[in-house]
Amino acid sequence: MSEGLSVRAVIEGDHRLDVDFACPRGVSVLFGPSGAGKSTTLGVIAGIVTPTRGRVVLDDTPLYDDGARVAVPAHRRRCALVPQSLALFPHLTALENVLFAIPRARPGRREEAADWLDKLRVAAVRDRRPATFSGGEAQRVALARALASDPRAVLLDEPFNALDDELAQEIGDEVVRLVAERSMVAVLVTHDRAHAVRLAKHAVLLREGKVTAAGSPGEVLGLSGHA
Amino acid sequence: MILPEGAWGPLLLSFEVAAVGTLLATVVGVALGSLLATRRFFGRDLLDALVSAPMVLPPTVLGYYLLTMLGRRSAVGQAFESVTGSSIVFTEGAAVLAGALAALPFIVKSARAAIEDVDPRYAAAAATLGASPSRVFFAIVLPLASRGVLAGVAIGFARALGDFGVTLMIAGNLEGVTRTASVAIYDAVLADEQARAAGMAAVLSAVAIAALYGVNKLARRTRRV
Repeated sequence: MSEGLSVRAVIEGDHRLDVDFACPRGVSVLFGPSGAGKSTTLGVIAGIVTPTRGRVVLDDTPLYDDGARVAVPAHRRRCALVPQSLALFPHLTALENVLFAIPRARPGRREEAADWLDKLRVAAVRDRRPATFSGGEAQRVALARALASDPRAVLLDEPFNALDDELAQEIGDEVVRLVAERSMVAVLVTHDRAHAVRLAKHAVLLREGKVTAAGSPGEVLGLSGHA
Repeated sequence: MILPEGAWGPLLLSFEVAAVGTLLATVVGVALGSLLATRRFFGRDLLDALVSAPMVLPPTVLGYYLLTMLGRRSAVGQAFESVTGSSIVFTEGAAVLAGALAALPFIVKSARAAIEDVDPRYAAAAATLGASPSRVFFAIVLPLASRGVLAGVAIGFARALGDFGVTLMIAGNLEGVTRTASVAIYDAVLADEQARAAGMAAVLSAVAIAALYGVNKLARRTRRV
């Protein structure tokens, strides 16, 4: 596959993982029960978890290939991760969190950061620190920060679980639009089947660290038998 | 504050020596603390033990090692003298070195603990946003660890201010050059100048207690965050 993301990764030991799948550009969903290896897989793509062996390729660029001794460090991969914990920097305001993701040499970065907060409808918290955010505000600031880093892939681990249905739908649609506009790959981990079917054009089902199905969300999630 | 004649000179020298020594120890100590906190490497426990040794070794033993390593007959001492024209030992620089060595273990231990306490998910998320390891360290990890580091710096400064044994061994007791307050108190006691000794002791005690009080305040605020 030349465009999009392909992942083959094996991790031995306590957090066993043995996955092999591809995601086209646009939004793909990783679906599966807790402990299936979804977050670990995102970590492998982002470069913060090193597999025992495998190969990760994004748009023809190998990010990791143990055979060819390639291991692009996380900060050069342009794969922005929004972890489940969100990891918003507690000593920085919302605006500063987003600014952190924009290269320091770029002119107009302050306006750009404010614009991202605006797009994700959290402009009201721009000068506040994460400890004062509601769950939904924190998720949207984390999304704004990830998208502001100009990534080639965004990796979203349960990004909508603190939002009410209406807002989750709105923000989800905005993410799909931005991903399409920038021709990015987005990999979304979610437990919400309706969300997955609505937002994603490709789904990968994981169970006990292995891929058990992959294809269109309707087909794959119809097979999952949970959620 | 009114002190007996001859008390302020050694006190001011002590503050200067302790400040510069603590600054040096902070740069080295934060780097070592970060290394020990974030990397797994062969000899890590040995490095930790070596860095901590000044806390438990007799000052005369430490002073002896430093004299052997940096004295006029040592290779380092001779090289330094050939470049600068003066020796390392028995200078104010040697007193600074003694202060830095006294402060170093406290700063390394505090920095290491504070950096280990920073949730690694912040650094991981920052890296995926394109931040280089040095930017992650200076913009995220160090600010989040700053209270713990500052606590170590405060204790280190108090410890450097009171150094006696190593200072005497490698810097000597030269009035106006290396006679710090701790050394001057010893001199004053030997000369039965009780008022001078008591005045300097009071100032050193007040500063040390203020530093420790500040550390407690910092620790309490850190726990609330």
